[in-house]
Amino acid sequence: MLLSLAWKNIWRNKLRTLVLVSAIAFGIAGVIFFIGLSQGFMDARNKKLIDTQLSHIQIHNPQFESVFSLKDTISDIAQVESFLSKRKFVKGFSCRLKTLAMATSPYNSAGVMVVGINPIDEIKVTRLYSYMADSASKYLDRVKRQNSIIIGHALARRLQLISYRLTDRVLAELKDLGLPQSVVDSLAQLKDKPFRLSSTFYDKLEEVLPQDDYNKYADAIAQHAAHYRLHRRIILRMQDINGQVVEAAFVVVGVFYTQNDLFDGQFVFVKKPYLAQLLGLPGNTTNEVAIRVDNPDKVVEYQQVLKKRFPELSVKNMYELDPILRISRTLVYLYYAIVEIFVFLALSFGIINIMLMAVLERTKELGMLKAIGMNRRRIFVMIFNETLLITFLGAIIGLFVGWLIIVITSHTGLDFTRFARRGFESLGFSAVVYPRIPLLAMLEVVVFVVITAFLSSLYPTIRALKLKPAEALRYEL
Amino acid sequence: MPVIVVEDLHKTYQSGQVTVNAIRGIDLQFEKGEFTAIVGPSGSGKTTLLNLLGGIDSPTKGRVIIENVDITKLSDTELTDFRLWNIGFVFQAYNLIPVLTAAENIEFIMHLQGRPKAERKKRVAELLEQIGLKDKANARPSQLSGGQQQRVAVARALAAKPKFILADEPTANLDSVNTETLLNIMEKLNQQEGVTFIFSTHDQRVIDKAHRIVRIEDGRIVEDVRVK
Repeated sequence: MLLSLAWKNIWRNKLRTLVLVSAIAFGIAGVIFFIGLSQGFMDARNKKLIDTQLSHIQIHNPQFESVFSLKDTISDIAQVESFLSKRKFVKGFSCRLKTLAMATSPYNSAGVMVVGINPIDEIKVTRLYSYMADSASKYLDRVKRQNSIIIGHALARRLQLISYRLTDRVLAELKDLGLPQSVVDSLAQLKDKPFRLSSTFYDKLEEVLPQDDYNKYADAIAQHAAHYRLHRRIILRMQDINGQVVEAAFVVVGVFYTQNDLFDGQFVFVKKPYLAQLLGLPGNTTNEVAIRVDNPDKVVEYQQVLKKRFPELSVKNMYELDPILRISRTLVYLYYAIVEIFVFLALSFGIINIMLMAVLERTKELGMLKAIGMNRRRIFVMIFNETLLITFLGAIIGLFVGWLIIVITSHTGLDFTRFARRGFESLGFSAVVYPRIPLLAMLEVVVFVVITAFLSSLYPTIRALKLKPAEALRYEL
Repeated sequence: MPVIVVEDLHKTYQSGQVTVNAIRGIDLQFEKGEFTAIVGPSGSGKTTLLNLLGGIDSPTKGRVIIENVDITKLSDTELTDFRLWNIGFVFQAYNLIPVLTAAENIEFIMHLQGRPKAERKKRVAELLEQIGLKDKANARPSQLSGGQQQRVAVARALAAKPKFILADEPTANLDSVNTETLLNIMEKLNQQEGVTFIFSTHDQRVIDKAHRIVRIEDGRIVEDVRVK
């Protein structure tokens, strides 16, 4: 009876109830969309991180992680290999040899992490081969030359192994991309001129294009005009096992572009036997084993299997290996909760304000109800139900709309390229986002809704309870 | 044996800066089945006296004893419960719950008493018949005239089967035809159901109907006569 009375009461002022319900719905849908977007950003980053370098589990010599010396290799690699190849959950594993080096081109130099790999094994663990920047670039499995190297886009730029040239083909591509004819026409004056530095190319673009067009299109033009200067030599300078500096020339056979500047600027990949030989080590020397498993959700369980078998080695799962991955699994819920607290606090003030109004304008009626024998508990339940009904109505709509937005955008994706591609990529995030809402985050929102509903119901209800019937009946608005 | 005994009742309240001595020592008794008018000019203390009798206000001094229960000693919750089972109220206005129909308004109080559904339905039909609003059972208060609303309020008060009904100027907002109708219904119910009616008024037509007239001025009884 009290519930149906409460339901009837909230529709006394339809406009007010609808405004409040929509405010709650908007707030909740907004929170869900925000969480979905954040999660989408992180998902894309994490997937790429696992796909391009991290894998699911890595094994090291415990010393290697702290000292990073060539001496700290996995001593009995054959045993590890034979164990891993017999495990069903292991989809692939790659024995890597990593060392630091200084990479030098005729134009510039940069510190890099050299990763020696057996390309056939590495392909079963990471998918860097699918991130090659252009059709001329080859992954290491497709080249015979011992001293081949693949580098990232950001390093290629740093070492000035990119030249920018607006050929007829590039201009046609840009036109297909939807650049205005006026822009393409202005670019024609730069046709076929080579630029070795991105800065001079950008300067020239700024010169020939109106400021607005430059801001809008410069990145897209540069991306299409870039030609990697493949088959150039770069020198790697590093220390061998005895601490002697060794230098070797490598031929750039491919450039990868993962849209993560940190990775693309720091990692280079070479063939492991050749690297080992340069460093004065046996060909199968390994200081990192990267493992891809069949089900990433069971990674902790699999890690335990390996830990048990190789207690002397350090076996880490992807969450232990990457701080952001770890955050995205646990701390992120705290972060969502903080956002939710602010949104729901704001919402609860709105709810309290409106429900208080609804109580005060019914002072005489509440006085009458109390006089005829409606006790405090029943008045409490009635007003409480009114607030709960409004809040839950808004919440259900908000949760549904938010969920719907996530479902739609998770298929279509949201493209932020126009706004800040470079900003996202330099942080390792992709500019195209596929939002996703984890069940746990959705539950978190629901919990906050319930808390908000109860807390904001309290004050108006207490105000209603404090009314003395005789005074309430005398009350004039 | 009297239904209500009032002993040395006083009520003082603050109205802004001013202390108002609304009731200054009243002793009264009401018997079962009375049809009594409390009369007096505005500000004489009629409403305050009714509020004290009904336990929706507490006296500064004195006692109100209803069938051996001193209601001035009850807690807020006990008092609310006491009112639900023993006292019916009809106010000047704001009597009904606007979102409920006439029938639902009458049924509401029996809901609060926890009476079974069959009994509630039967009683509502019976009362609507008695107040002549059978055809308005599903009308909301806003679709009823002022007189019809007051009749529903009387029916609602009766539905709870109280020991007595307090009506504070129930005809104040009604024209003469509606006043006549309402009073006839109250009188009829008083006789049929034997329920005690105590109502305040300063309307001569209402006073003429009363069986007993208690006249108060400045919070004191100046006249108490039985006319029928």
